[in-house]
Amino acid sequence: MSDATDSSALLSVRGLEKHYPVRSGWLNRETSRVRAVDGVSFDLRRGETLGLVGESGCGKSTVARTVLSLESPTAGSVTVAGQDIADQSRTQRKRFRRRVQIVFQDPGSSFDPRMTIGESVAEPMVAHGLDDADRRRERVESLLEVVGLAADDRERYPHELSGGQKQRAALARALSLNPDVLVLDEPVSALDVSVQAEILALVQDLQEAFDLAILLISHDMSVVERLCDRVAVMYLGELVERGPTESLFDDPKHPYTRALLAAIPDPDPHEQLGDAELDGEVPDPASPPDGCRFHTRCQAVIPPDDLDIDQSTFQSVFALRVGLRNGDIGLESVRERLGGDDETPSPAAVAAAVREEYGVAQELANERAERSLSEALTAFADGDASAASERLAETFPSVCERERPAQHRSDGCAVTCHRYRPDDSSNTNRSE
Amino acid sequence: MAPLLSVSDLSVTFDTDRGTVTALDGFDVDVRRGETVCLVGESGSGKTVACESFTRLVPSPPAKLDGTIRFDGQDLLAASERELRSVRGDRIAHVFQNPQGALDPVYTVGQQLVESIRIHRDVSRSDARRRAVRLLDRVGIPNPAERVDEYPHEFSGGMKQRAVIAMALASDPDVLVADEPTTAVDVTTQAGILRLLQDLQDEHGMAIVFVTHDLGVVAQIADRVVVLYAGKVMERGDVVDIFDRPAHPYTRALLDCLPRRGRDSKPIDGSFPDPTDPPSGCRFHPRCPHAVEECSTDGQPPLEAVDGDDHTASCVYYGDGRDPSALREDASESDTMDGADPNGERDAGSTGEASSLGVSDDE
Repeated sequence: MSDATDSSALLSVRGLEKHYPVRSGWLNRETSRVRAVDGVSFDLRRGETLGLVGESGCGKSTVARTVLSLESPTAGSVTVAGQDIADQSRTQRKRFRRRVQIVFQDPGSSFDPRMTIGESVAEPMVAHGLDDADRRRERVESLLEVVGLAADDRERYPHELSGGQKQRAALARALSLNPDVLVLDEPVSALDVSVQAEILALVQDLQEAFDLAILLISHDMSVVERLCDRVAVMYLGELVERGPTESLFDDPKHPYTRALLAAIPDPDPHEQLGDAELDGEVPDPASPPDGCRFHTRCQAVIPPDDLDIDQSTFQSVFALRVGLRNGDIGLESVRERLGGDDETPSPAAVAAAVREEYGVAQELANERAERSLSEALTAFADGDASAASERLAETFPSVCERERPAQHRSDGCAVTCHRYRPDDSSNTNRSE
Repeated sequence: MAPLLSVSDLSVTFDTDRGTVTALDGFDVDVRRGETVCLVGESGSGKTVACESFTRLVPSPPAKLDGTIRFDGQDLLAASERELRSVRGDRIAHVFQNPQGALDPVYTVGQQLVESIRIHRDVSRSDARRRAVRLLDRVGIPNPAERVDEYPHEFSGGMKQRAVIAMALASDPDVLVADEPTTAVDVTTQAGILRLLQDLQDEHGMAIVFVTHDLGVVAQIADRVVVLYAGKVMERGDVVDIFDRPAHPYTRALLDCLPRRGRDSKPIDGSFPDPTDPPSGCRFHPRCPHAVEECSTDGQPPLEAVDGDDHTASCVYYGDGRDPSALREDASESDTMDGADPNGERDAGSTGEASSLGVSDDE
């Protein structure tokens, strides 16, 4: 995944990893690691906006913190204009920090309630040694005007401003040190839709005026589409797809990208509310799934070659298998649903209920598949969930859970999914 | 069919240091069994105050509530606190934006569910627990028989909101009032929760009053829509009317804010009015591209039929002998009244949002 550093890039992230150790026991040994970011690479050029999207818990904010050098990476590098942060001395690092600034999600908590807006906006300048109070004041006033506030607003306190105004002030503060790179971490998700539109328009204007490189972090694809030139989609610490905004929205390749796009509520009352494409939650990054990390929630898991089964049937049986493995199906819960007030429900009833829950037909067309599934469900009804899981694993394996997908590239897009294998490469195992 | 919940001429005012704030003024809504009514508007539009007034959750004093709220033949504004308790959280249940605040961190999810079940139903602890498991199962918590004994912090944000919905369902409510239930969660989680609410409605036939600022969500779940601005109803109608034939300029402006494929979103010019000193005439006129002199005099125009009785708008362009076709012209061609606005000053608390770079509305 480590492509050569693009010399025109202002911000360059290569193979970035950030792991947090989990310690336990009286020796406080490291027992596992939370892999918040696990091998992320991207470039950001001047005047360009890159969107980093994904659900909460996929590691996008950790990427932001590392880019800001608020955290040091476990591995990999972050370079700004060709200089690696890790190589910098303390004083150099301070100067470096001026070049990358951030605006946070919640404007309510990113301002000190006891400081006026002017003091807050001036604070970075004080920290970086602009001692002349008059010049600071002048600069604060002009910054406030640039972001569409009034110079007089410098006297006001955060509680006197609306959410949108505070976010404008946060932009003024971020711009106060003339940064090259601006990181926006969910800048509008705490705001009303009408105010979102204003802030997004402002960001666009600011970018043009100051030729900023912007890294926009969001879970909302509609915001990303509005602002970004390129998009990188992140899942469980990894980039699963990236490409120019238009091609990614027109032709999303990775099933996760497709699911994210499908989740945007369509402002058209004639469209029926579809089934949620993305079930469940982001798995625990301390023990990410093997193979493709998305396989536990994927709608396009690849069936084995030797099993004659249609995609949707395989998909639902596979989801059932994952449910058993993760303990999402419990015998007690199924019995409770069947309403066994007096007597425990029969194994056949339990099996039928599980099939129903996962949308699996009561009898599969393929004989081998059916035999395996009914044996597994019988084992489950007997209380042996792990045997059930093993039985299903024999008949319903998938390449997605065994092998790490390799990255497939074509015209500026890159997708990491088994459905897009690099051409005529027999070995799809990614070297790690 | 007679409405289950019928609110008419509801006003909510607060006395503050800076004067009286009319959070809601002359608000009407009818909610029928099995339908979803969406209250839409920006922060400060009065949508939350409206839905919290239904069961008098708005503390009063300081709030003053006027009007009538009829629920199943009973006037809830006149009812005693005791009578109200058999309605609030029982026949009319609430779900709020932040599930974190609705769950107590020191009790398990199951204990809290059992408690809310036993408040409303005279059942044994073990029956209540069984019902708790079934409720969690119903709202889509995986393996509920085990997870019922977990604490709220062990649930993800989306699952917490599902658990809160389960608690609201504990009393088999007739009306579920959901105030921005998906604003604090991811878009992917939001899709699942909207789906769940719709399924529950299909099963139980309950009415849902859904409060949101996001028209995308409205399009997905609403049957009928009430658009609020600065405490006044701007437009009401069937969801298809609102999206296909928006009548009020404010509704159009809100729709233009939505990012859609192939088109940039367009912010609303001007700033949200100061709640202590709302503009005279139509509350939206200072920001309206179609405002004429008449808009700034008198009060808010009455709700006039747009096309059919169920679709009404509070705008001078509608009514007998009026021609609303002017509204359909391109907004940019007409002058805005923004500059001439007598109420344009920027008081503390007002939301002065300039439209874009350099267009600051300083005095």
